[in-house]
Amino acid sequence: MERPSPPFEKTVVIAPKRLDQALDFSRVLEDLSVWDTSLLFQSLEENSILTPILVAKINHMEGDFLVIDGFKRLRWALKKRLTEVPVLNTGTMTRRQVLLLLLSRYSGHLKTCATKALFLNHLSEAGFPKDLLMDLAMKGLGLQPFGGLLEKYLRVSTLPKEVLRFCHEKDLSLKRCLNLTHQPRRLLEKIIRLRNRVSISASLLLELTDNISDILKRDEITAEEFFEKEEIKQIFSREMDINQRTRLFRKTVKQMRYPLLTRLQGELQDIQKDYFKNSPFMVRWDETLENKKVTISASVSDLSQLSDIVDAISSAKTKEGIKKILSRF
Amino acid sequence: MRFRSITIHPEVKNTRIARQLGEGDICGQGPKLSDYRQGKRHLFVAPKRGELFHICASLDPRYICCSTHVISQISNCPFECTYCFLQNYLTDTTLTVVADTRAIIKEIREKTSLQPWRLFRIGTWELGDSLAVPPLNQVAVELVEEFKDLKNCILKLRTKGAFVEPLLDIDHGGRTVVSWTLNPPQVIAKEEIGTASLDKRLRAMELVSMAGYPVGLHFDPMILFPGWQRAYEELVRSVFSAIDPENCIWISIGSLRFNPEMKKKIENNYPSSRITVQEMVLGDDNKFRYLRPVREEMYSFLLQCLKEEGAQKCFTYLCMERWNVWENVFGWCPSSIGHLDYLMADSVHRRFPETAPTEPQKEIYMALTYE
Ligand code: SF4
Repeated sequence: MERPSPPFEKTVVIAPKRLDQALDFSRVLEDLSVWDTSLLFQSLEENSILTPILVAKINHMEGDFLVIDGFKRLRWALKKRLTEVPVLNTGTMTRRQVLLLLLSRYSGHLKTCATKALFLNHLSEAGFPKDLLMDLAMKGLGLQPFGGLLEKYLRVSTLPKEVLRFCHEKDLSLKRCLNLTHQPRRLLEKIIRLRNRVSISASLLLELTDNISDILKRDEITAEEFFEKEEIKQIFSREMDINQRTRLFRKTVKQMRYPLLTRLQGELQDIQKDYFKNSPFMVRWDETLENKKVTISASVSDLSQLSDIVDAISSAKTKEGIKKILSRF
Repeated sequence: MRFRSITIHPEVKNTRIARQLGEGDICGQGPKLSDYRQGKRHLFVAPKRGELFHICASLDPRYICCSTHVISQISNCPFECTYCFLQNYLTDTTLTVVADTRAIIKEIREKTSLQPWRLFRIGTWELGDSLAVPPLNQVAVELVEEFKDLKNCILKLRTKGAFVEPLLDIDHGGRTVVSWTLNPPQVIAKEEIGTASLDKRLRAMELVSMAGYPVGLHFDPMILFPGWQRAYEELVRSVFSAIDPENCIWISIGSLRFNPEMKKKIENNYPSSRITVQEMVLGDDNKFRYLRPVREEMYSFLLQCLKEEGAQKCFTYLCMERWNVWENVFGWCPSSIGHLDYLMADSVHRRFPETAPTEPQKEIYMALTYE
């Protein structure tokens, strides 16, 4: 045991200004809507601070006390402009001890990649050394203690706040979050802000950002200029339900990203319309236009339908239509 | 180019390349660097460990592949092509060269002697450039000298560099093909960072051709950009003003391809590169390629340029393409990978009898299986 067990030094009353909040992670969780403080604040309004704020000095640091628990109580006190708050001084602690305490306090709330990333970043910014982060924090969060992995989480923590909130809500994996870090920030923010007008799933967000960022690069335009394009503006100015708008937005973006593929697919669809519009079977081809192969499929519920299908498939018109499609490959 | 560090494994400290380097720490392992760019600046001269000779890792039975063999003698490369797959492949990134050529040749001899009827084309460029910078090209010199006595093997050196001097005065016995990956100057400047300019490559090509080496040409990866037709047309013209098509043993054509993870790497490592923004589709081998009609247009165009420069006799093939692409570009396609293997052997035998003295037997090649 590096540290004697309680009793700690006794409770004192000191000015909130003397308390250092550098370790306050609850604010970050509140931003992500992970923590709701309304009940606590209501209780504080009625009962004031009943439990003292826990403070420490790390390795005999100079100056003010470092808060290690009770951040929200302190925040309330500051808001209320209280001049004194009850404080329980735990004396001097090592970084390791403080980190363990923070982990025990927060780890139950850190289930998603986004929250883990923010927590690790928070610790890193608070000056906890890398080996302690790997050895203690990463293991405590159920992660492998690898430097490369830590870098990845720290990278995720740099995503815009609204995007991190989305990542948290959708419980996006590290890989998906990392993918987002490669996208232009302004674009991500813009798309995330469309959430009440377009129904954005995790995979759609990745698809849209991938495609739009390629368009931005290809056409050398900014995210703002993209959203000012007439075809995009129209999608958001017209009245339609959210699902319809989502489909249209997705389709338009794809067409803008793949103009040639869209045109070639259109030509194949025209052949399909000309030759197979009312056929009792379906004709499909490889949408990437790579493989020379046409798939003909049909479903029957009655044996008598079978001969109609066979006749239709072996007709001269079908052969001609299939030949036309195959000639495009 | 100077390496930031040179480490020589004690087991190979007396090899030719170690002696030629003349400097370096003697240590059992090179620096462990996770960043692939950093690794390019640190050299580790290593002994042979395990088997190094195998069929090209790109082989995928869903595509027509030239079924070349490779020796993994070099890992990482001092050049920096934006499209290079090594950025997404290497875990140990230190530029490593296996120095004990004798052991490599022993392995090749053992394996190729099991199929004495077969012509093995064997490259050293699987994970790097065969001749990138001195003194790395010294390992190539040793191989060239050894290959002249391997009757059913051709050594394929492939480079984007121009350091060919050490090859010029040695006895190669016609069994080494020196090849260049070629792109127009615009592409070299933007996407093939640190490689030799086109002029330098062409001058080097001229020199090896004069020294009697058959020359291989690889227009791969072809890259799409505004004005590509004119640029590739000029490229072909300048190649054949440097060498006679008669000295060109084969020509491969391919286009830019990379897997989805690579796309992210390229965008991250080379934010100003535009190569990832073209319309591309994901193929069965999980690689993005330009749309098939676009690729076909590019290949057909290049083929026409080659014809116009008198290169129609050179065996020309597509790298990692599908049967229908061959049909649309050439009007025919090999019936199998073994068939292509045979056609290449046959072409070399007829055009370069010193390189491939034995007449290949079609039936035996056709019966080959490839996993
Ligand atoms: S020359 Fe080849 S191995 Fe070297 S960087 Fe370029 S693509 Fe990669």
